[in-house]
Amino acid sequence: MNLKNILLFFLTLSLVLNGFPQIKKLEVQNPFSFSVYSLKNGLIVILSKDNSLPLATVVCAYKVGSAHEEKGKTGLAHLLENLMFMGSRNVGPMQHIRFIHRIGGEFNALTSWDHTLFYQTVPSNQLPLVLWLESDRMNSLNLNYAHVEETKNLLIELERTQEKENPFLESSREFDRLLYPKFHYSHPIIGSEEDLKSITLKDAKNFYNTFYKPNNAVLCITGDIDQEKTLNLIKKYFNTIDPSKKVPSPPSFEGDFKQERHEKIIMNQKISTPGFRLGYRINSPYSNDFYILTMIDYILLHGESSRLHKRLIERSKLALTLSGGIEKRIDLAVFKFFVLSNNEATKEIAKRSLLSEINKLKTSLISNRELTKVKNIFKADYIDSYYSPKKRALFLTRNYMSKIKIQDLAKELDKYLSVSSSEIVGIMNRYFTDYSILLEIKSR
Amino acid sequence: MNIKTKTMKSIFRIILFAALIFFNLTTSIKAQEKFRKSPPLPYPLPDLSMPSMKTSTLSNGLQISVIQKQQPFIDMHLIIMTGESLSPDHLPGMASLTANMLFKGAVGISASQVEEQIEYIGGDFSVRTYPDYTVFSISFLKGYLNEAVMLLGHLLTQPDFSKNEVNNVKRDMFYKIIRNTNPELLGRKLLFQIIFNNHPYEKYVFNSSVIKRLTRKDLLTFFDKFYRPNNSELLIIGDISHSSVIDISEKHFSLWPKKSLETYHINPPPEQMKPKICFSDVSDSEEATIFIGNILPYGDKEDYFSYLVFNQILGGSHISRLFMNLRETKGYAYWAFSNIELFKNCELFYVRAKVKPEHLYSSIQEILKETRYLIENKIPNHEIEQAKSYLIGHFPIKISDHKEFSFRIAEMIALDMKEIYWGDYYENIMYTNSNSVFNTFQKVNFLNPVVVVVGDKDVVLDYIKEFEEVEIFNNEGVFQYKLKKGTQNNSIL
Repeated sequence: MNLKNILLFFLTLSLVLNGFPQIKKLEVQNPFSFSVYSLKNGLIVILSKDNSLPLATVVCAYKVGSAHEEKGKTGLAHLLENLMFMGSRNVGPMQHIRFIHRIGGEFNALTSWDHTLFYQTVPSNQLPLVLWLESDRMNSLNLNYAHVEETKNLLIELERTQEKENPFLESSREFDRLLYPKFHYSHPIIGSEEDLKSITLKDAKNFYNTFYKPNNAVLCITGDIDQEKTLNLIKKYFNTIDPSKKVPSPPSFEGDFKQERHEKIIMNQKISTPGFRLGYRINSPYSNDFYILTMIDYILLHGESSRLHKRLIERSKLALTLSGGIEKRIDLAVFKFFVLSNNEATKEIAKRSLLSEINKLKTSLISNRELTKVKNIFKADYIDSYYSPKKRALFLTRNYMSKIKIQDLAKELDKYLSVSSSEIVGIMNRYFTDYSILLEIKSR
Repeated sequence: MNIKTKTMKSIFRIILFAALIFFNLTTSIKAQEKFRKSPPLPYPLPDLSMPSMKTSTLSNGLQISVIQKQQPFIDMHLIIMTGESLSPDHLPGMASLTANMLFKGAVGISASQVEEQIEYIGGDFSVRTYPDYTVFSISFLKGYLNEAVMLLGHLLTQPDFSKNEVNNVKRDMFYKIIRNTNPELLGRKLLFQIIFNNHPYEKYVFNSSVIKRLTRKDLLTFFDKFYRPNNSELLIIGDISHSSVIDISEKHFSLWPKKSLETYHINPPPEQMKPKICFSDVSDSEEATIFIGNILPYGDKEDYFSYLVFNQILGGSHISRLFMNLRETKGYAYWAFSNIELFKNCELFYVRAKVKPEHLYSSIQEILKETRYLIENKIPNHEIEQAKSYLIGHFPIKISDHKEFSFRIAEMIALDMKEIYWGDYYENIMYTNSNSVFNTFQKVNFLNPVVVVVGDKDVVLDYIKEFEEVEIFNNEGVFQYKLKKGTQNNSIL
């Protein structure tokens, strides 16, 4: 090795250890301005400034969720979410929470099918603290036998409480199993008690070491921030965290998610009123159909003046409970309805009324006034979903992790607002066919 | 200079450079180790600036307040300065019935058309009745102010209060009360009932039996008397100028006639001078829910901020004394917090906790012990500073949602608390110290509170028998019997 090479070696080493400058990937102006960067270790950073209040929200999201779990280990992703509060090399158990509370901040965490995210909103002058906390648990989570067992027991208790307090949980889970034929999509995020008990410290460590890495994460900061200062802080706290060699790809749905007809009856001793769940399988949530189906969701179910609310609750009082709508899980989507009624007879009428409303949408065009109304409700909901530092950070993170191109985010709202009456009729006829999945719920 | 010397110099330079890089490198590693070890210091506290509000009065006496703020929504609140406390004495619930009827249609427009019109502008609405005031709120997409004000103006000036809708609303109110088995709601309700016993605020917690007495005729009288522009204020927050709001409001509210109003003065309720233990039975509840409260006298600005700091230390959050003691240290409770509710001429302070029934008695003792300690001693400075830090940090979070922000402003207007909320919130918190909290609480008689326990009597009653006397109520707040220490559960005294 000659002297020049030695010099080059030292220079490279110095740069590696001090961190390369961030690579700015793109800058977007609409629907609000934000920038996306990628650190050398693969961490995606999204920054969006809004200094209307002296607040900052930090979301740290990992592209891992319950769909990554294997059979017999359900609940592992949710367990890891909880273990992330049990301390890291420089932060004691539950100290993360106390640090955030002490400064008046708010925090929460969430596990879904394909991601796990942690978020906190704090006074903007406390941003360094949050980055210190998030980087420490990304870098050096303190996983030990006692913490794993303690957290498992807490979650088992939570599972039992949920089962006791939510009389509709059982039918909801059964319905998911019918709608989503593949295990990865259908099992409950909280996991089963039996599986939770079988999870070991080694399982937790493997999961953490595989998925909780910068090259599998998105860090989004919104609010009253100075872009340059914030980037320097991020560089300081995150640039030296090692990436994993390879993060397994999220499971994708293999096989046909085809529409099929299925009917099942279950008994529910916990409830005194019968009901039913009705579902339709839909193809990709990222196709043009999804935008039209979202408008159908709003026509049927959103607001006091929605068609099903008026028909089943306001006019006939056939439904005691009415809920549902379009639901997406990774690359699949379904359309669900859930109705509870006074008795078997009213339940049957409620079902027929619901199907009759579906038929109306298949055969006649929705009026301009009604279409404008649902679009306005949707527009208000959509804008509200990014209208605070916390909401904006969650909105950006989720969109980045979805299959939507983040640079095209501004076009998204228009895709919903350009849906026409004739498209609605077409989509209704394509998806709302006899190939539905029906779960009848008999009461005690 | 010969070649050898040149080579030597080059080698020397390279070694020096490499050494520098090494130095840089090693210090970098050390720096990383160091900064990860302890939490970083915060930046200086940023300013919080509240947007300005401009108020004018229309010719009919309607006050209009506008906060011009760039946002894609408009938040509109109509505040009627009359609440449940002015319902006729024999008709508690009348203010709530009247309020619930406003959006249920008017001449030429049905209730479902009102819903449709609000949703058409991307809006939603809510109606809230409090002891002192009533507030109607509509949030909608900007660009639809004219439609929203026109609808509200029509509802106020052309009400019809159809018999059908009156019956529907009464039925909904009735079922809402009788189906309420939530221990927290029932506990707060019973606390109100006991604390405001024989005071106009007691009407706020009416029970289902009064609903059938509420008639359309009385409703019309109540509406005619209190739903007047000179008893109201319209608050509008959004990307809209004050002058546009005035123009639109003049157009749609000019037909709303004013009427001379009687002046009502409600005296502050007396503080509870004797401790009282009450129990409300809710079957199938596995835990015991506790409410412990008393009146705080309405004080000046310093008192208000002392109350806030005190509340934060005692039970304002997950790191406050009650939560740390009852849940984290002793394991008695699932949660334990304290709250302050504001009224026009007093404040209600209460602790609420959900505890394991076997620890009920000890939990109540611990809550009283913690409260007594904070009242009777000067609170250590570090706790005061900690509480202030929380309150300062948390305030902007509470108003970061546009609807929450607008509700707070509406509350501020209704309770005439502009001075307290506006502008110098941070400074007022900063000025609060151990002495000011101590001095404020010397004027307060909080140590004789009302204690309300809600739970399943089969589970909980055994654990409250240690108290000398417990008053037993059903879950609608109707008194059943007194339980004295050493007597049977069902003895009616």
